[in-house]
Amino acid sequence: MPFQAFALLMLLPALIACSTTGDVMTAYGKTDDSHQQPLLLALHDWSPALGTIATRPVQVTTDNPATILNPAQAQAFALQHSPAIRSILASQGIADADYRQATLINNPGFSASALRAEGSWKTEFGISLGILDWLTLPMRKRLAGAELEAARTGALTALTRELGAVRSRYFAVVAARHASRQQQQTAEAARLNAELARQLNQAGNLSELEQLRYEDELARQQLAAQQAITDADIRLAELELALGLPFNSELVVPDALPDTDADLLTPAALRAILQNADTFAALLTTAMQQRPEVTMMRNTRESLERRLDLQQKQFGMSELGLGLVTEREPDGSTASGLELDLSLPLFDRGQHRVSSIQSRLVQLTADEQALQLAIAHQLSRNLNNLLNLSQQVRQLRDQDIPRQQRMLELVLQEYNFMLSGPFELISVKQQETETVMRYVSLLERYWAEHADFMQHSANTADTFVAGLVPTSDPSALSPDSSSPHSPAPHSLDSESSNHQEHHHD
Amino acid sequence: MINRRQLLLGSAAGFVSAGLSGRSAGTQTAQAPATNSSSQNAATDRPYTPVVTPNGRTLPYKMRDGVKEFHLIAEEVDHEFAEGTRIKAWGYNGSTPGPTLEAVEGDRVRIFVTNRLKEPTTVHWHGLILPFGMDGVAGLTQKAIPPGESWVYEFTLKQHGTHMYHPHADEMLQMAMGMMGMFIIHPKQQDDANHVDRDFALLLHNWAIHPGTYRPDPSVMTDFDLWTINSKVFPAIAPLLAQNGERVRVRVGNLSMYNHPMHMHGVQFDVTGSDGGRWPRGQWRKEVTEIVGVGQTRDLEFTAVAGDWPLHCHMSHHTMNAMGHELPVTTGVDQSELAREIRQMIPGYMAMGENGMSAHQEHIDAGHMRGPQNTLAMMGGRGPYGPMEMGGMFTLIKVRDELDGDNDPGWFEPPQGTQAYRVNSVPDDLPV
Ligand SMILES: [Cu+2]
Repeated sequence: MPFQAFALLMLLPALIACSTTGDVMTAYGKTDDSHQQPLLLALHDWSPALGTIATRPVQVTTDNPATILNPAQAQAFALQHSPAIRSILASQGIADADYRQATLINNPGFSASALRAEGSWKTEFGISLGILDWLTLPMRKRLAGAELEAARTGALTALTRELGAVRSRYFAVVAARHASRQQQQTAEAARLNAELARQLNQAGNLSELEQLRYEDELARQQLAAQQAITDADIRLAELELALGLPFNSELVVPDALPDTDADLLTPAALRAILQNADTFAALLTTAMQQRPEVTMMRNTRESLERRLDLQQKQFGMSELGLGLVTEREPDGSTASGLELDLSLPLFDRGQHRVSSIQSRLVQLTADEQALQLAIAHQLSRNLNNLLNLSQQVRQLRDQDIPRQQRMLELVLQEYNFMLSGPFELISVKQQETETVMRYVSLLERYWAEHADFMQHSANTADTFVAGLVPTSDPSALSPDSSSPHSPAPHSLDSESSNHQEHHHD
Repeated sequence: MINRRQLLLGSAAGFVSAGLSGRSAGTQTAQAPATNSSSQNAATDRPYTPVVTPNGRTLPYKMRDGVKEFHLIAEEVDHEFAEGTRIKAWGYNGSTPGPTLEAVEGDRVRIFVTNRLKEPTTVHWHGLILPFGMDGVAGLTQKAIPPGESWVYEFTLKQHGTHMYHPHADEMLQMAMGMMGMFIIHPKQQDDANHVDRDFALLLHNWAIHPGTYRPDPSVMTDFDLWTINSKVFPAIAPLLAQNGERVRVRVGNLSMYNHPMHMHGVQFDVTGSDGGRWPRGQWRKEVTEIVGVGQTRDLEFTAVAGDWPLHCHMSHHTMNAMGHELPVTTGVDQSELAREIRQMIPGYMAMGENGMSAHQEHIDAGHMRGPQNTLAMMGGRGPYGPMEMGGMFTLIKVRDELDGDNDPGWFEPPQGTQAYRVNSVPDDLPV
């Protein structure tokens, strides 16, 4: 299974490309074992609405920090270069991360963006198991059964957290760059007003007092613009750190957040989950199946039950046990560690061991319930926030910003007929850029909440939500075979062409 | 008492007057162009020269039992100030201003007023000497006429002169909406010495039609957008036509919210009358500009001289169409570099006014600067030699040796040697 699965998994970047661009751009990973083979992706900028980046497919390698254009690539890069991640992988005996990165990043356990690719649930579950196969290689011979699984899931948890952080920082820097770009526009509008005021003052047509009002506004906007540049730089540095890049690297990321309908969850789907208890329960179940802590608890339970069974059968026999301890952190995540359980059978007839295991099983049940409750609350909070934010984002995108643009058009008409002055005209433009800044801020909150949602749902939420509402744009589902950069393998076609039929049943 | 001769004349005039009124009827009731030369007048054996209301008309009446019966209908009307600007106005009998009422001193008039508005109205006969109960003041002299009802005003005309009518119910709004008209009363005793060949009625008004809107804003007190003569703006105001040497009277009434110094080119006119009637000759005075105050009328008379002579309000903003009043002064500011930068951010931006505003009309006429819907450019109109850069209360008195009926005679061509001309040099010994 591992190699076949691996081969299949290597095709998943295509699905990532689908999901992040809304249009299908084919991409493929080589199944060649050589780690010199870079992951090839055909990319497509995802912000046509604000479009500063050309909409064109480009072939990139994840080795090049100048071409990190989506979070999946950032994660791929981090897997290859981040010391923190390499440390985790190394502890699991995976030294050649660059060789296996495609498997890792394309696993739905790591890449949220893969999930809108509508890959079937069976496949994804298989991938998760596949991932575990790669983990804890050195422990395989020393540990057996549930303990091995526990160690693997511990590593999975750490990796998920690291890659989640890469994803968050990626969005943070894109948001900061987006906001900065708009702030520069606002400052430019203020500059034009101030320059006009200066010229009018020089010509003797505007008092110094009036002129200084425009200067004052310019100064305010320039400070804000400078601050925005610094914020973007700092966030870029934070992403560099997460990616294992040096300060002032060649790293280039887009300067516009994704905001098309294909990028955003629909309010209808989010509302459907919130309002339908069965749907919510299905989401929760799906999430629970993929959450590493749940896997750990399940494995621990199996281990305990096996030992209990053994204890009851082999009365009084001593045992060297390795168990899993799970602790919940204040932020809701969990930390796990291995517990060495050494006991001597001298006067022990086993009763206290049986009751100890039994009480730990009781505790485990309580922990599982507490975890489920916590996840349910996390998910419902995420859903509520996302519903609100996705409505607000759409309102600004579809109504408020176009309204401002229409207003600008009308003021220009008034200006043409000498009914409004140039200051008023430029000020309306400035209002428009300020509205776009509010929009960017909402988009940033949306993507932060979305990342949180993905984390809480163990990256299952996107696919789940997408499965609720039929895709309205069928063209987004089929690969563009005419593209010279998309020699789509057959297996990709079959994967992506029938994904609508897959459901998480 | 009405003698037989008057009765006959009246009957005839009642049906003929429609054909004699309003030269430029526009969208109003179709009418034959009025001719009002003295010969035409004599042909109808009318004891007076009928008034011409440019862009308007005179309301026909019917003589019944010695009483001249008129019917005014207060209603909403579709009105066009000039091509490209239409509004929902209120007026009478399909127009603003309402049709001119014309009668003779001593006439008994019975005026039916039908209210087709959705609020009560009255008609006040501005300046007329009449019984208290006929004065048309809502709540004071009568109950206001409710929507859908018809009321009658009936009185005998005890005076002559240039008068007006307008509502005196919700007056501020109803007048802002365009409800007003002229009421001309000719003297019973026609004085040959004071005979005029042409008699015009102009009613001044101001309108707040904000750019992109279709209904007057009655709340505006000072910053009006449109300044009108008979509810039209230049270049849509019909010119006043006359023949060389004819005696012409221009009656000007003002129901706007500003006084208007009406200025006439080419002649010194006599101010010969007002709402107080025709003044004794000894009170006439020569002027070239006469302020027509709010609520006043003035009669201006002169002997026509060939040319296309402007007649306009001399408040220069009153000869503009819609314009902003709080614009920064760009005169003397070279914006060319800055304009390029602004265009980067606001495509279509054009710097205006560096050397004055004259270039504005060129831009507008070239058609590359779009304005708001339903809004006239500040200035416009082209003469034979270029842009006239005018709007609002501006029109022309076109005088020719001979007119072809009511047809616009085109542009006046100055006789050789009577027009300004260009020189290549100025004598350098002239003091400056
Ligand atoms: Cu005026």
